[in-house]
Amino acid sequence: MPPRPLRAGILLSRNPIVTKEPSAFVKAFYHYQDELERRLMWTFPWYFYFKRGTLSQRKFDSLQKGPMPRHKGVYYPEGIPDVKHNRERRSKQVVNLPSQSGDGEGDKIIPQSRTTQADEKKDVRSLERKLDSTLYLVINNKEWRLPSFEVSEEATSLHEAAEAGLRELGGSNINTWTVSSTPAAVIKGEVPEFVIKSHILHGQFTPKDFDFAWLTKEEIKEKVKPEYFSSVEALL
Amino acid sequence: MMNWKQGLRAFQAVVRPHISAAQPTLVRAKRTTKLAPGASRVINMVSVISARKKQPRRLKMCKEDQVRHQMIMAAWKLHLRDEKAERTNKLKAQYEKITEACDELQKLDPALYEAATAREKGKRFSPEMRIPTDTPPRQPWQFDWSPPDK
Repeated sequence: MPPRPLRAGILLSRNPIVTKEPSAFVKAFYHYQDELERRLMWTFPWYFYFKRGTLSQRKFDSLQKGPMPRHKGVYYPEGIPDVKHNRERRSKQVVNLPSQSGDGEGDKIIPQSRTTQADEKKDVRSLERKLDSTLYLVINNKEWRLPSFEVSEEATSLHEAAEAGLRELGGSNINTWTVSSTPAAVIKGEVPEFVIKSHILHGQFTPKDFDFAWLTKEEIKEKVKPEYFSSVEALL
Repeated sequence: MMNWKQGLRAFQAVVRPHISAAQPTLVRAKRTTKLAPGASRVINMVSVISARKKQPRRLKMCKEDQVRHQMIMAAWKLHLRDEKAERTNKLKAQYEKITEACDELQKLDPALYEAATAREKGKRFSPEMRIPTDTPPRQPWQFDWSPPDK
């Protein structure tokens, strides 16, 4: 059967795995808000967490740096202390918590790095690169562009044709979630190409005979033709 | 969170169970008898909830700091506004792209258009989707995935 006079494209994206790196301005604002909140915080009710007279209370107590007490006839260059419940009320309260294991290092949480090996190697084929931004699949079939497929006469819907075409091209070991059966855009040309949006959840794209890459919006701009980029820019 | 009245009732029920809730009286004198079992725990709880003695001193900013604070909050508001405008413009452009594509599809292939614009009832986000976190998991991506056997 002859194919229909249109093609089904797929915009396959890998959503960010880590949150976006905050800008210097956002970081500074969060720091300011955090300090304000600490300054206005109520005194820590230690007696709720540590039973009086227990070893854990003693451990906790020994770690606290008590406030400066107020004495009559003493000159305080940084203002007269205002202590209540063992807390200096004019500033934030610093609460030092004892470590669970005792040596102070055992319960320290070391987070995973936000940059991966794929970032160091600049491996554009890896799905583990640029964890904080959305990656899109582009393939090099004569020229760099989004993958697109012929729609046969038997096909009943665009998104099924696109998903089936993707698996034919890159193997079936790929788990995707189609955003909608409605096309997100049309790329006009000799044969109009209707773009279906989809997210990759697991697995990988492994085509046999051509190059592919997982790129961010900025990288796609450098790789594809300018007129092609302007037709898909709004989607990325 | 308990409000103070509920806290008071709970406290009374433990300390002086013989007094019913209908007669709310507080003993202000120094306690000479031993507390009922569990009472000290309730006292602890109530004092955690109450603000007495735990509030910091009121924050008094000098004129200069007030201006600084207002400047920071105004800048933050502008930042949020810009972010929102950017997002709105992006969504608007995407919506226009969708309508353009649908119009084009209707002209080219009415059958596919019907299939593409039919209402998708009961469509849900996949539970396998992940929300971005501050730090990545040990294994950022699961490469060896195969479709389940049917």
